[in-house]
Amino acid sequence: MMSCRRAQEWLEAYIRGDLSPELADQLERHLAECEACRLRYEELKRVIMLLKRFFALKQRLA
Amino acid sequence: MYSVERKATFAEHQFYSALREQVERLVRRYCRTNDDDVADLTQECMLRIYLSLDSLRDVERIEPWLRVIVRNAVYSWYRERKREQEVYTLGLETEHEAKTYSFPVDEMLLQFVVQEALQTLSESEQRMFELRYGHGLSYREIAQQMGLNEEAVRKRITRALARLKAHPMIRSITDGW
Repeated sequence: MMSCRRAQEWLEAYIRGDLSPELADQLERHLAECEACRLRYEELKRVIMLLKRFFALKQRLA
Repeated sequence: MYSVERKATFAEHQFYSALREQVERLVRRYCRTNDDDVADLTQECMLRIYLSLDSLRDVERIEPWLRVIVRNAVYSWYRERKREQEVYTLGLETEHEAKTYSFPVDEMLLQFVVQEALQTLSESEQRMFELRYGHGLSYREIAQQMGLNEEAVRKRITRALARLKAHPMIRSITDGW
C-alpha cells in the first residue's frame, strides 16, 4: 500500500486531475484505508478551491 | 502655564490628526469600500489603538504595530459583514435574491484573506500558484515558464500549499466549510 508520505506528495495533482490512472488508483486505495489522509485530502481540496476562486476574481477585476 | 497647556493640547491634536490620517490610509489599503465604511472602520481602529497602547513597545516602530491593529479590525469587519449578510440572506425568499445579496461580501472576504495569506509566501511561490490555479497550467508548463524542473515545481507547490493551509486566516474560512 502507498505510504502516507507518498500519498501527501500526490494529493495536489490528484485533486487537479493530473495524476496517471495507475497512481490515481493507488492513491484512491490509500485514501479508502487511511482516515488521516482523507482528512488532508478534504482540507487541501478546500484550499485549492479558495485559490481558484481568488485568482478567477482577480482576473475579473483586472 | 496657560500657553504651555494650550501648546500641549495643540500638539496632541496635531498628533491625533496625523495618526488618524495614517490609520485611514491603512484602512483604505486593506479594504476597498465606501467612504462611510472607511470612516467607521477608522474610528474602530482608533478605539483599538487607544485600548492597545500598552502593547506598543517601541514608538519608533509604530507603523508595523498600527498595521497589525488595522488588519485585525478590517478582518473582524469583513467577518461581521459576512455574518450579517448570512442572517439577511436567510430572510430572503428566492434563491436568486439570496445569491444577489450574499455574493459580493463573500468576494471581499475571500480577496482580503487570500491576499493576506499569499503575502507569507515567496514571490516565486505566489507566481506558481497564479499559473497553476489562475491559468490552469500543468507542472510541466509552469516548469518551462519559470526555468525549473517539473519535480521541483511539484514539491514547491505542495510545500507552499501546506503552509497556506495552516495559515490562521485561511483556516478560519475553510474550517467553516
